[in-house]
Amino acid sequence: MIRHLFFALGLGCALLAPLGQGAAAATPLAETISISVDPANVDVVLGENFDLTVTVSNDGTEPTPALVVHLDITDPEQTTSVDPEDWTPTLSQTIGPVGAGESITVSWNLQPISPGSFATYAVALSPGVDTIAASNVLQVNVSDQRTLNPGGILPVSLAAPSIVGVLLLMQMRFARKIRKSEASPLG
Amino acid sequence: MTTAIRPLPRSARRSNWMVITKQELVDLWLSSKGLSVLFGFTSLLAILAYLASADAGINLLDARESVGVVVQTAIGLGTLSALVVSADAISGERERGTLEALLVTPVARLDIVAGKLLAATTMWLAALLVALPFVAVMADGPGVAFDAVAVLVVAGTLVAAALTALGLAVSSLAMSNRVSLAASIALLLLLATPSQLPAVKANGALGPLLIQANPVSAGLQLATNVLVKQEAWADQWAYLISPIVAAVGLTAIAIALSSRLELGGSR
Repeated sequence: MIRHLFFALGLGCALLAPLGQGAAAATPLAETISISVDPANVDVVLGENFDLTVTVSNDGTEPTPALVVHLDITDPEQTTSVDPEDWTPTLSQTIGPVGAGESITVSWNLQPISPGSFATYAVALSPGVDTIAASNVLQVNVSDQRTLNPGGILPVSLAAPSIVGVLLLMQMRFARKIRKSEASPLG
Repeated sequence: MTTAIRPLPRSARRSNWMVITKQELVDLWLSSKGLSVLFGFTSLLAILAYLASADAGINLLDARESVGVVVQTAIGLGTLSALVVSADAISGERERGTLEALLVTPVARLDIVAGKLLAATTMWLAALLVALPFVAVMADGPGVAFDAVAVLVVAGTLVAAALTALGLAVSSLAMSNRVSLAASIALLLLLATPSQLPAVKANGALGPLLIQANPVSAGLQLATNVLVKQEAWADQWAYLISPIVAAVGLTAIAIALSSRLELGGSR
């Protein structure tokens, strides 16, 4: 019976060993990759575009697996809901493997569509790897700037309905007068 | 002694449709009907033009796109206005009980329909006049004023002619105003909606064909192509075919249906 026990134990170790090796071999991305977003702070006016660059550096001794850099935008104060795809059409960029000691830079052009203070950051991830490497936070401050008369359309937008409305009121008043005079016994 | 009934002289017959047109114009524009519809159109267009300009002013919408949106809306709402007026032309008379009085006059049914068709078309002309200042101001910035006005006049007028005739044809067949209006608007939705479906737009071969075959979507796509995509007018002939065919064909149908006008109460 003890022989059977040792056999089962040995068989179990043989079966589970590859998992242990796999787990031990998968280095978390954050330990070998550093990722940074530049600039660290941006002040823009609503609707104004700005550029940001993300640099992914391999600080390890082995090439990284194929990497995808993903951008995210959030409002830490949750006063505004943010859909990052409203700011830029492409949120993820594939950069492939990064060699040991090498760096790859990718850039985005963003256009804020709502005012407020937002946190923008990038993460590097790899398909099949269950860890990510995250960057610093880019603080984006978007100030509101709207004009009351964009493109000179305000006078037209006010005048056109007003003119038609006045004509309509005059016509209705005229029709009421006609009806009254027709109804009057003196004609 | 019998009195010979002489036929109307040609000059009198020729002026009958003018008399009907004049009467319809008075009924449309000197009553609150035409101005009420025009006021609704103007208000909606004013709001949209302001919002589109505001978005273009902060670069959330390209200036050309904002002009394209306003031109498409003007065509859509303006032709809808004309459709609503023409859909009331015959069925409205039936409901008000005035059609019988009109049919017993010596005016030919063809003249009645032609006069009503021309009068309903003025609804589009009024909408066009109202839309021109909006388009002129908005299109001045991106430098597409001529193209925008041309699209409005050419595509808009063709689509309006087609839809006005469609409304009149439906009105001739419908026994009540409610049915006429509902059927006309349902037909307009049937014409306008399929081309807006993402599946149709994404279909490489069938999508453009469906859009070109539909007079309403062809007219709207023409506006996008010329104003937003900056394509040449010479490349847009395919988008003019269906509006022209629809305008001519539906007008012929509306006129042909005039012979079916008969005395009878509304149902």
